[in-house]
Amino acid sequence: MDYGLLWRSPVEMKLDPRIIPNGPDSFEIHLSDVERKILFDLTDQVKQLIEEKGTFTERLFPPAYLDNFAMQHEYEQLIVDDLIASHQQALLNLKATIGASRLSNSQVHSWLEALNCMRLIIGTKLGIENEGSSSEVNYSDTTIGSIYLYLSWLQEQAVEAVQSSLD
Amino acid sequence: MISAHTTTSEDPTSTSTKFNESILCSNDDLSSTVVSSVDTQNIGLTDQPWAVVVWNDPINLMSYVTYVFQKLFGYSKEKATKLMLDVHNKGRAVVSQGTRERAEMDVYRLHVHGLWATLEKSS
Repeated sequence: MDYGLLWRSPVEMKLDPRIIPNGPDSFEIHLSDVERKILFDLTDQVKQLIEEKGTFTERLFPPAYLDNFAMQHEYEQLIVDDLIASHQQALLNLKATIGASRLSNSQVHSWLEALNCMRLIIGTKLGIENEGSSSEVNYSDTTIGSIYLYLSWLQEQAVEAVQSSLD
Repeated sequence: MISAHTTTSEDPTSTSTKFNESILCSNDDLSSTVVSSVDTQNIGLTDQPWAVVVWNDPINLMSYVTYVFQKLFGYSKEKATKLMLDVHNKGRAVVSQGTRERAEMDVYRLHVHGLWATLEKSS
């Protein structure tokens, strides 16, 4: 697939905002077709990885107990199906609304969860292991690195957009 | 945690990006975990107070972590930001406390939102 774009840092590229509050429980969405296509494709790929608990998904299934193996096992057995379902539902919600020009507050919240699933998996795939390492990664020939920056930028906007509903 | 305002060193003369493969093409399974015995230390711990700890990680955005604390616990922006900064600067922060069941539910909700949270007995 040719996405036909150079992805540098969206901040560096001075892109216009993509998620704009325009009233109570209403947000305008200004994504290009390419951006929608990337998010659409990522949704399917991430959903499949989560379903399989495949490589790079470990950050989505962190341990609850660090020093008690039996409790951790009990917790994992108890929640793993619900956790998978929750992550997948957020991705499905994103996919279902990827073409929308307006979103509700709850839909933006769902986008936030889905975007975070994507970032956690891609960040793991990029090998981001410690503070500051993301800025040290050479993104010059990695589409995935550029997409990671794009998702970060979009997620930051989504957080800012729903902030008023939390205050 | 990181700020979203990260830059790249990408070649500005490039005009297109070929992307012929799945971004996330690996499907390897994680190793399964097997428990061979019951941990008797668990008995009698349900009435003791438990703390929910959120740990620093290099991927979650600082703004997103603050958002999650506000959304899940109803904290003010100021309190949520202080907790986020504790996580960022000290490596961890206790974000809630309660019974084991309550703490486990809070941990689960934090896991749903992609944060690295654990529970431990309150000291």
